[in-house]
Order: sequence, then C-alpha cells, then structure tokens
Amino acid sequence: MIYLRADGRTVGPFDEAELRGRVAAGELPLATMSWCEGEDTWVTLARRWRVPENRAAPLAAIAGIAGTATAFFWLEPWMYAAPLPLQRAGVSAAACAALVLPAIACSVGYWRHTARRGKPTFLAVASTIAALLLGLGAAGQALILGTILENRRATENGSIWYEPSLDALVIDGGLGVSLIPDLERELARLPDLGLVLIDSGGGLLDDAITAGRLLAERNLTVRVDGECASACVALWSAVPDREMTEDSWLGLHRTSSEGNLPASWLRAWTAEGDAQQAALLRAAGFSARLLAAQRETPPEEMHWISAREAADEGVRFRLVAVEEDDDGPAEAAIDR
Amino acid sequence: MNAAPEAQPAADPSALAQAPIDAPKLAVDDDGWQDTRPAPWRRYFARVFDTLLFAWTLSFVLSTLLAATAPTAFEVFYGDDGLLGIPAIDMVLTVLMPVPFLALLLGLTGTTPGKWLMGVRVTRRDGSAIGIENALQRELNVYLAGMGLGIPFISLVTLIKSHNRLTTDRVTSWDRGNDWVVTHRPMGPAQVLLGTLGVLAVIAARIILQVLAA
Repeated sequence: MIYLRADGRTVGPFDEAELRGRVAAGELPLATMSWCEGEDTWVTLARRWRVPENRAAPLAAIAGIAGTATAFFWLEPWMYAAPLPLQRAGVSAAACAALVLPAIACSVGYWRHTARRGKPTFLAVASTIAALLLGLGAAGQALILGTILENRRATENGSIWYEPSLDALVIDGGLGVSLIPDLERELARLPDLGLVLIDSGGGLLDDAITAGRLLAERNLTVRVDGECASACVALWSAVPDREMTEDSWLGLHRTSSEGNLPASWLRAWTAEGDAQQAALLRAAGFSARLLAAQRETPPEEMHWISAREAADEGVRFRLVAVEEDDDGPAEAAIDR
Repeated sequence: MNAAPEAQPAADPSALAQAPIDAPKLAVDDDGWQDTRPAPWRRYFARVFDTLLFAWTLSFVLSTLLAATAPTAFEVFYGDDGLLGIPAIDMVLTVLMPVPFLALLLGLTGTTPGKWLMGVRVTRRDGSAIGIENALQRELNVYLAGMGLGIPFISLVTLIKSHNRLTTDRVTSWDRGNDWVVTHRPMGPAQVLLGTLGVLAVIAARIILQVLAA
C-alpha cells in the first residue's frame, strides 16, 4: 500500500494497481510523492516504478549547445580560411545564424518536451540560456569579423604574374587580400623560380609579412624595382635575400588600423603592427635613424629613402644596376 | 504540486490525511534534496560560481555586441579608460549583471548552475518553482543584503552578517517570511565530487582574474 502527498498532506494508503491505473489514465502525475511503510524516504511515483526517461531530448539539447559553441569558437578561423568571395559580413552572420538557430530550437524543444509538474527542467532552461548567450556572442563576433573583412577587401589588390623575359615573378601594386592565394598559386606553378620583382605602395601588413615568409621558405631573392612602401617594406625585410635596383625607393611610415571598431582596439592593433614591422626592419639592418623615421612618420605621409641612402644606413641588401641592351637586361650586383 | 487529490484511498476513508506515525519528514514534495540544515559555505560558493560564470559570459557577449554595433559606447565601458577599469564599478556590475539570468533559472527551475553543483535548491514546499517575479525579488535582496551591492568591504560585512544570521536563525533575511524553502542535496560521494569541482572552479577563476589583472 502506498501513501501519497497532496496539498501538503499525506493521504492514503492506496492500492498500487489502482494508482498505476490512474497514472495511465492521466489522472495522477508521475511526479507525485509516494511512500510505503518501512521506507526511509519519500520518492516520486516515477522513481518508484523506474519509469524510463526520454534520453533523446537531453542529447538533442546538448548537441544544440555544442553546435553553438562550435560556431562560436570556429567562426573566425573558418571565415579567414574561406574562399575570398565568401569572406563577407553577410556570409559570416548567415553562417552564425545557421548554426545558432537550430541550437536554440533544440533547447526550446527540450524545454517543452521535458516540462515536469508544469515547469521546465533545469537543464532545459540552462541550455536555452546558454544557446541564447552563445548565439548573441557569435552574432557579435560575426559582425566584428565582417567589419574586419570588409576593411581588408577595401585594400587595393595588385597584380602578380610571371615575366618570362626576366625569368622573374612580378608583384605590382597593392598588397590586398588576394596577395597570398595569388602568390601560393604562382609559387606552386613555378618550382624553379629564383627571383621576385616588387613594385608596391603597400597594403595589408599581416598579409605582406606572410608573403615575405612564403618567399623566404622558397629561398627566393626579392628585388625592389621601383617603389616599395609601407607594408611592402615589411615583406621585403622578411626575406633574407634582398636586392634593390639603383633607382628604387623605400617608403616608411607608421602602420594604421581603420574601420568602424573600438578606438582602443585600433590603437592596440596599430601598436602591434608597428612592433612587428620594427622588428623586421631591425633584423634587416635598418639603422636607428630609419627606425625613428618609420615610427615618427604618420600613416598619411611617407618617408622616402633611396637605394643608396638605405645602403649607407646599414640596410643589408644587394644594390643592382640594371641596364637595357640588345640582349635584354644586364645586371651588376654590388654586395653589401 | 498539481495532482493526487483525485486519487481515492482504497481503504477506509477515515484513513485519509492521516500520516502514519513513522512516515519520514518531507521538507519539499520532490525527490531527494531534503536536507534543510543551514549550509552557508555551500551557498556562498554557489553564489560566487554563478556570479563569475554569468558575469564573464555576459561581459564577453555585451562587449562583443557593443564593439560590433556601437564602438563609442564600447569605449565608455570597456575602453582603455572605460568605466569598468574602475574596480568598484567593475565589482558592482559584476554582481548585478547576472541577477536577471539567475532569477530566470531560479524562478523556473528552483536552482542555478552554481546551486546545482553545490546541491542547493529553492522551491515551494510542494516542490514547485517560486516563479520569476519572486526569484527576481529574492535575487535583488541577495544583491542588496547579502552581497552589499558588490561594493568592496561593504560586501564583506554583509556576507559575514548573512553567514551569522543563517547559522544562528537557520534562515537568511531574504528567505524569511516567504513561502519557499532552501533544501540541500544529501552529503554523499556525488555531492562531495560536485562541490569540490565547484570550489576548484571558483579558485581557478580567482587565479585567472589575478593573472589578468597583473
């Protein structure tokens, strides 16, 4: 015989078979507390009769949260690794929503499915809140990422091509988002390449440094042929084997970070960029005077130095004289 | 509880409402968690765990959304010279921000992540949740009388006072006179394990905060 709790009172005893019938008829909730003489504690009818719980709902909720968390933590690396046309704010926000909405739906479904005594379970509410907060965080991250990507895309993209007459790869123009994929493609296509000519007013610093490291890994010579300014100098400095033609120029100034983002972030990123660039220039032999010039020249201005001046200031590179004759360009290198 | 009254006893109706003399005491009409003895340290660590968990999460979410949509407002709160760089304001907001979310969880389910870990539940005696409005009122009272608004030193005083009151009167000021009861999971291996995890998480979070501050 079983006693029950109802409205704060103990009622009973009841016959078990009768109670089972009432539960089956929906007249009595399984959450009703029950007790039999001799037992140490009260338990719900569900626990007394070991009614199996639905395991699919909690698993769905956990999968939902895991999906949201995955979206949250992998959104940024995924967007940077995505093909260039996909690197847009709208795509990142859509990717975020596509992963977060099912997570929230899972949680809410779990909430409704497992309501006990007319109230949702702790895991259901907690999972919904977690999915919501992670979703909001991911949405914010997607917007920030989108802003950064839009700014990156606004940087001019130059051209990269192989010039058979010079047996050299030519990088001409801005160092934008297409620099790395274009360079990787050309380097894969040209296994015997030895020389890279560059004429660029600069662009994205991180990409320029990465490009420099890619060229350094292939032990390529990078020659400034014309002007190399701003991020281009970082690229050139990141390569151990450097050359300049006599009539070439290097342009130095502070790095800059732009975009509709918090000013403190932009300042921090600029400082980080300046430190990266200064380290590369120092390693390439730029004198303290040139480093000061780079540090003190605002982003909207440029401190130009000729190849001769750079050599006199201790920058390590080969100065190359290029003279056109009937057989094509001839080179005379002066080792420094 | 919504139910049972419709079930009729199989025996003599006079047996109705007569609890057998040896029926165990039932603090709350729900499974387990029947221990009503004061457990101030479990409640303290539950509170600190919840505060850190939600304050960190909310701070990250809010700062991300502000940075994305309102960079100027972001600077006011999170910038180099932002308001949250002032320790007193930071602590007050750290304790205040989780209140609505803790009220939602407590009001709907009777517990929170920290309370669940430390084995603490706040429900009506029939096992039902106390509702969002009551939970919000309770959380605000805890914020005021228990956490001293999160203001350094004042918070320490209110915490000590609340501890003394709970151990002496067996009830805190924010629970006294209300139609709910605070119950605890019985102390067993599972509770020891969960409680240890909760305390370690709080200590780890404190260490991380110290490192970040340095």
